[in-house]
Amino acid sequence: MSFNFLNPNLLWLLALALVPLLLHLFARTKPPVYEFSSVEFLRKIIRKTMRLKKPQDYLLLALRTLAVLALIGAFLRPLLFSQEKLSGLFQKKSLVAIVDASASMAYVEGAQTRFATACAETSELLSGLSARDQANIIWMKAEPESVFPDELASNLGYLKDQLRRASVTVERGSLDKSFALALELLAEAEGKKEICIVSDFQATAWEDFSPAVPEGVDLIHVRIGKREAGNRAIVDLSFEPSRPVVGEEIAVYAEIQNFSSEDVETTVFSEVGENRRSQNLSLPAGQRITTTFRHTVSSAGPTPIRISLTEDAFPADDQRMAVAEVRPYLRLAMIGEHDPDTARIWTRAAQALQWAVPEWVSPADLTTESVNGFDAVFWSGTPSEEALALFAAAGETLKFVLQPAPGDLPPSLFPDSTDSISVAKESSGDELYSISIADPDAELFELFRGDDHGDLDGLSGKDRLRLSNVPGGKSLLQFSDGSPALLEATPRRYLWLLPLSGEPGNFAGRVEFLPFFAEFLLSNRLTGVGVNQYIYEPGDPVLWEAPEPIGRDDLRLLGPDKEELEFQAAEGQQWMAQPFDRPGIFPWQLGDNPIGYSVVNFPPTESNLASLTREQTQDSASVAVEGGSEVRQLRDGIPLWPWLLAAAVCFFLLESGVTFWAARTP
Amino acid sequence: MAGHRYLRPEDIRKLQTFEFAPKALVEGYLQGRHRSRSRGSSIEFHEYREYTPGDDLKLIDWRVFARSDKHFLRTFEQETNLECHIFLDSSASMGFDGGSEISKLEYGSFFAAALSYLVVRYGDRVSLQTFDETIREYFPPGSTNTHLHRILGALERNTPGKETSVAEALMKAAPLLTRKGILVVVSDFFDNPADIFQALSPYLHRGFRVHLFHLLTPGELDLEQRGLTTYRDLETSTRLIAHPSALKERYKEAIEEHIGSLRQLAQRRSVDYSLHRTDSHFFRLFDKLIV
Repeated sequence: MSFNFLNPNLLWLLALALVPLLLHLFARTKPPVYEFSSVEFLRKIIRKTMRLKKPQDYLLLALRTLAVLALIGAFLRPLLFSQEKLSGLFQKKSLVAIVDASASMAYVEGAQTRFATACAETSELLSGLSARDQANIIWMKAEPESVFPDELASNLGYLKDQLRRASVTVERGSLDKSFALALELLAEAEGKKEICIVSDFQATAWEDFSPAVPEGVDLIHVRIGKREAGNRAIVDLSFEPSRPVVGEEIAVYAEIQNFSSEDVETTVFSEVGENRRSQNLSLPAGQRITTTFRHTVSSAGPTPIRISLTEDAFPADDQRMAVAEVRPYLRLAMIGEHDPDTARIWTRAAQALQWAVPEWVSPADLTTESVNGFDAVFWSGTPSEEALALFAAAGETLKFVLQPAPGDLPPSLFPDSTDSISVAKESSGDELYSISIADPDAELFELFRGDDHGDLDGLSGKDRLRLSNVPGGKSLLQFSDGSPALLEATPRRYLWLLPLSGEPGNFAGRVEFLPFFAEFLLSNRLTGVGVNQYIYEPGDPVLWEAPEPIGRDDLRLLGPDKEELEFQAAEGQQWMAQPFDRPGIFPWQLGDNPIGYSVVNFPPTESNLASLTREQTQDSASVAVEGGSEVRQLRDGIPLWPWLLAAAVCFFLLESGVTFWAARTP
Repeated sequence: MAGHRYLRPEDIRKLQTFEFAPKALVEGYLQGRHRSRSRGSSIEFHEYREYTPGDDLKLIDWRVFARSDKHFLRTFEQETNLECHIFLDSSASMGFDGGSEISKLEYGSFFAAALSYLVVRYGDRVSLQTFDETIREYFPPGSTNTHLHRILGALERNTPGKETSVAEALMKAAPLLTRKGILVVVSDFFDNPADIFQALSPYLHRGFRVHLFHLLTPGELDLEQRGLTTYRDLETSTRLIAHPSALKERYKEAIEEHIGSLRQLAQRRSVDYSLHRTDSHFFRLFDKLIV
């Protein structure tokens, strides 16, 4: 904290502060002498009142001196600088204002949004600059941009005009990029350099932001908005299976969070295709709740999924979208290299199911595209490392079931194991191998917990495949000696070690086999947001890959309101569009048929509107203030003369009061 | 009588109409108009009284003895002259005029001169004593014009002296007064009331009729309005800086308390006490003295 005087040449007036003291002393020593008959009575009276009178005198002296000092102080026109390092009176200034235009700034507080307040405060900041100062504004959003492209300028009127015209985005703010841009703009600037960040300082976004402020640059945080702002939002959406089949039930999971400090009642709506459901929810304060909707899809093709809430004060995050690619059937690849019988049994079982189509594939024909088209690959034999690499690239959406041929297994099947693992074929002789459920709680066996679909107890077989050692994974079925019969080696990668053919104990001949096989296909399917769709946040660069080569003239990109949007070709079959500026489902259409979707959802990091406290936003490298006017005060100082004038008046009034009181006090 | 400062011709003319007589009977050395209870052999028969051993045999009325065979004594009332003792405070504080045309000492001197004249005029005896902290001048009782001239001359020469000590002066003067009479004390009484009345006790015990004339100027009864002032005590030269407006009320209370204390003690001891402002005519003092 420091002071400066606008009229330092009047400092000599401070000597006048001695006037009351001199008057006091003079008045005490120079009263006229009056000869009186006896002062004894006066002496007694004064002795009684002396205790009171002396403090009165000192009080009056103090009040008069303070009044004179305050009056002189007012003439000196002092300025108070509460932050010394920001004091920059009479200095040329270069200011970069980073205005937070992220989605959270759209929250309405009072009569206007936080963003409108931020623009007003920034305008106030600019008003504090003189004609020789320079400034620029950076809009902080996903891709920050400055008003003047590469430099600062003195045209403050244009900046203010831009502030009046600006609108908030639904994007997340990129703090690092904005700050880096500000430093870049200030690199060549002259005079006193300042970066003013005008933001609501959302706790979730700003908590870990601690930029390195170069020497000679002052960082000022101008806080907008209140500490808390009640809001509820859908912060996540997923569904399973990720690639549903027509007629299959889709479970839609919506995570809803109440960011306020009060319990809230709300209604959640789920819309999948033409199906619509709703639930009433009670959201405890500050809690996140996952709610589930189950829909059955009746037609194949891309199906929009939309979860929404009853609108609140901040409606932008009250909905979330996805697109489910509903497939007409599951495509299964069958490879019978080693044991064609088993592969045929798998094929026959799949053929018995209406929603699965098996296809015999030669290992040599496997490509990335062909693998991506399958939901599961059933392989009897020993796959090459190349084939396994293809499956790995396809990700967990692909279920891979391997009945290994005797011999060493490819190491990539068990990436966590350092030992080589082999498999051997064993025959039980006269006594069959009994097979039992190893993990009764597994989803796979849920169907058999009742009696409607048979009983898996009593399974047996004559031959079996036995691993040299079990490196890990999860046994689903096991032989009586504990050796796994069906092992999930890694997620969605299975080793099929149980016999399906041979007498007695032919599992494939039992009535339970078909439901078991169907459950095996449907269980443990990937939860997700579908395939061949692209999830973005507003402001993200949009890139979409067509499933097949399409001409530019045949392809259309539509907005949520069915308006046509511009796009252009990128590499290969990829297409590029301008960043979407709002949440919604943006279909890519071939003629009138959607062939893909770009889904834009509200950035979940922007939903928590709670701000950092002033103390949290201020550190050794920065100063936190509550408004643009406060920045001006910090920079230009707070004029104290009105206060001093008021103080002088108060002191004089007090002095009069004390004098009046003293005169009336006997 | 012309030519004396404190006994002006116009005052003498006014005094011609005054008949001076004390309120009480006093014992006189010379025969005069004032009756005394002292029983004696002269003048007027008073009453018969039965003889008691030790009485003077010359006073026995043998005619009564012849008729009644009892011894009765004839008693007489003596007509005697009056002695008036004037005590004039001449301390420095008496020199204060306090807004009046004359000081308290001058005012008291006028009164003392007039009273002396009146006493001598009726053939009575008057004494004068001026004092401050001690007796400054003493004129024994006398009833001649020469004595009166001496008193008047002494009054003219008299100037304010030092500090007041009424009590001490009274105590020192007591042996000087051989006969009881009227004691007139003229002072501003800036002394402790209890001490004053303790000093008066011998006089009262001896049968003196005591009159206290308390002289104060208007400025002493009520502090004058003035700014911050250095008060200098006329007697002790003590300086005191004060704002009269701040002390006015308290001073008034204090002086009234002092006066009240004097008045209360006087009433209790059967002493005549009266307060007089110096802006009133000194003849008013006779109202308290003369029947």
